[in-house]
Amino acid sequence: MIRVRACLLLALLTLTLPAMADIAIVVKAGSGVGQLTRSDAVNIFMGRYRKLPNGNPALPLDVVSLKARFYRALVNKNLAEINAYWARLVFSGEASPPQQVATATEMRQLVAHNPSAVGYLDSREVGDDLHVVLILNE
Amino acid sequence: MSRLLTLLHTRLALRTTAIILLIVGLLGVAFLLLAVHFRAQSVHQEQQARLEGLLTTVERTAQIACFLNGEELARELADGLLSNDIVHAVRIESLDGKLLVGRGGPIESPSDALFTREISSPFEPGTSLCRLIIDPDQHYIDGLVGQASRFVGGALLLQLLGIGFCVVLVVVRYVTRPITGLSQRLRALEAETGQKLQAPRGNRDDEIGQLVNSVNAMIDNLVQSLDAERCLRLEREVEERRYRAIFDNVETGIFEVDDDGAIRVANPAFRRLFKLPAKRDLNRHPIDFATLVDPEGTFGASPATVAAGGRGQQWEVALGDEEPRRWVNLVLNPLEAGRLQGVAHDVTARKRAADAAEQLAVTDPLTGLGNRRGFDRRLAVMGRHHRLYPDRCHALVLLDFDHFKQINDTHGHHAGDRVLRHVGGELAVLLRQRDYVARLGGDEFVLLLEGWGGARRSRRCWSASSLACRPRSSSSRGWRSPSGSASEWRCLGWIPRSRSRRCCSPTARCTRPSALGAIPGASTPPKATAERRSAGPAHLETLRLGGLEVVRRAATTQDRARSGGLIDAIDQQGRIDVHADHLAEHQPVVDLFAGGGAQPQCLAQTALEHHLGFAHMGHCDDLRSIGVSPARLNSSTSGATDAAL
Repeated sequence: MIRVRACLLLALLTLTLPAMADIAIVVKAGSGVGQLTRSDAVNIFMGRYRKLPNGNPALPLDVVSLKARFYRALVNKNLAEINAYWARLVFSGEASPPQQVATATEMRQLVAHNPSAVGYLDSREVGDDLHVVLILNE
Repeated sequence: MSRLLTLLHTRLALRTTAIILLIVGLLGVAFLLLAVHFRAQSVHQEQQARLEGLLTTVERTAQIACFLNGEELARELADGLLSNDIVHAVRIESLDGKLLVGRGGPIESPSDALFTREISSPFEPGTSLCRLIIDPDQHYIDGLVGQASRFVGGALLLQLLGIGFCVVLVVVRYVTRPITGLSQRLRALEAETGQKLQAPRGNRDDEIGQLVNSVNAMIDNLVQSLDAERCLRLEREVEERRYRAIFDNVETGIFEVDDDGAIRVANPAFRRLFKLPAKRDLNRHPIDFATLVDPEGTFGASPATVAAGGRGQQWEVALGDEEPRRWVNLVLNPLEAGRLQGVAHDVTARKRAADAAEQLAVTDPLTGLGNRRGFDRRLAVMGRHHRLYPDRCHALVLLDFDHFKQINDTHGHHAGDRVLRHVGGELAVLLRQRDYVARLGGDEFVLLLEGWGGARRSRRCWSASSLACRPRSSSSRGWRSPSGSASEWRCLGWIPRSRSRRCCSPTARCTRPSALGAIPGASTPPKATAERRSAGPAHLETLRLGGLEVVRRAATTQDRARSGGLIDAIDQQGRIDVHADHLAEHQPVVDLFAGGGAQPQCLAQTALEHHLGFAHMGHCDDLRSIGVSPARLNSSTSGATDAAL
């Protein structure tokens, strides 16, 4: 029993530790986008900008598993607020929310194949095929 | 307007109300202005707060619209705002002035009345994205303010009217009506009967009650004063009637004189006294006082002197020209300014009595000549006269009978009195008017001869007239006929100068008795003057000597024996024959004022010797030797006469 508890605590710790890592906003390596400011990131992910600084259309991607952490780090809002924001805009057609992907792997594949795609993932999971344009410290 | 002013002037309640309403109205206007001001402010604040609230409500949407430059969203937002009646127009523009959306028309309000809010980014609070401008609907706000003001004004007006109405009611009920009632009661009050004023019910203890008490106290005083006045008037009437009766019935004349000296009031006695008609209205036809009382100014009776002196004066005036004159005593006193009051007494009787008494006091009752007192007075008068005119010479002659006592003893006092009367009559006839003869007492007579000049003149006078003549030889006392050689006749008295020619001539003087009756210059017996009574006995003879009539008769032996030679006879008519021997012998003549006197004997001797019967004092000052000084003679007439006697 004690072992079970110790295992659970350990498991919790192991789960929590990677959550404490920074989130990196990434594009396809070699897409021509060097760095993004925080404001650029907000504008792109919140629907204001439809293009990347290099002129490519911007296609932001939301990773469902990281979504809460990401918006907290980016605009300091919870998911409910972000959802309310998008819900308000849906009927007016002014802007559309980012495309939703389920996992970081899926996101990585999408980014790696699409130079317009902008995604985010844990900074420790960034591979060579991705180019980090902004690190969001939590 | 004038009617309103009259009403305001006459109605206390109306005036009070008007004043109160005026004050309340002014205050109300001031309050109304204040209230409207604050109400407008509060309305503005309310609307501002409402706008703020609206802005806050839509801010998040506006943020998103600005963030996304979403015109559709912005328009929606603006329409939503415009659906509020307070919002007139809405504009959303970016910071660089680019209009995102403008709804509701152009902005009409001035820039300071606009509501502007900076809209920041919904994700980056520090970043302003655009500006939301709301133009409030001023008409609507003004309407709200006006509505509020109308409400306040109406409320105040109602309050004002209510207050005014209440004030009128209160004033009418509690002030005007009691005062009006009081005034009516006061008008109907008969204060002179002592009736009291009743205070209105409910006002007994307040100011109106005090007023009533004061009025009652005043009525009390009034009644007391009226009573006192009435009593005084009654007393005064009685007094006046009394004085009127006195004025009308008194025997004293009472009158009043005004400033001009005219008699204005006079009682019946005064009218009788001055023979004024009783009906004459002196006020209408006044009579001049001086003309009436003292037409010739003899007595100096004039009202002007009294008026000027301020003190009463008294005069005695004689009225009428015919004798006996009536005498009136007038007293005039200042009565008041411009009025003098006078009293007039008829003092005729008193005056006559006084004159008679005065006359009686200085008259010898027996002879009708002066007496000792009259002599004293006359001597005093002469003394004063002499002091005024010292150069005039006066003389005093003393006479008495020798052996007069024998007459009384022989014939009785009655006969003596008759002798004295006779002699007195003769002396009185002899004298001038200015001279004075008096009987000092007994058989002593005194003559005061006034206005004899100096010694020389006196002497001449005496030589021209004779006081006492007697023959040198008086051995025989018998009376003989005038033609008789040995007459015993002696001249008596001094004969005034004017009559001297009928007197003895100087040559005949004192030598022969016939000369006494002789016409001057005539050597014949005095037949002309000495007439024999044809009807009487042959031995009776009446002699006239000037005014002196002496009846002489040959004395019978019996007579002589009876009378001792003093009186020759008493005739049938009772006239006495006086033996002249007994008259005027050894009588002194004294010059009173030149000083000095003479011893009687000495004078007599001198007179005899010089045939003068007179001695001037300058020649004979032996009087001093007997202890009588001239000063004493001057100062004391009685002393003089005593000494002279």
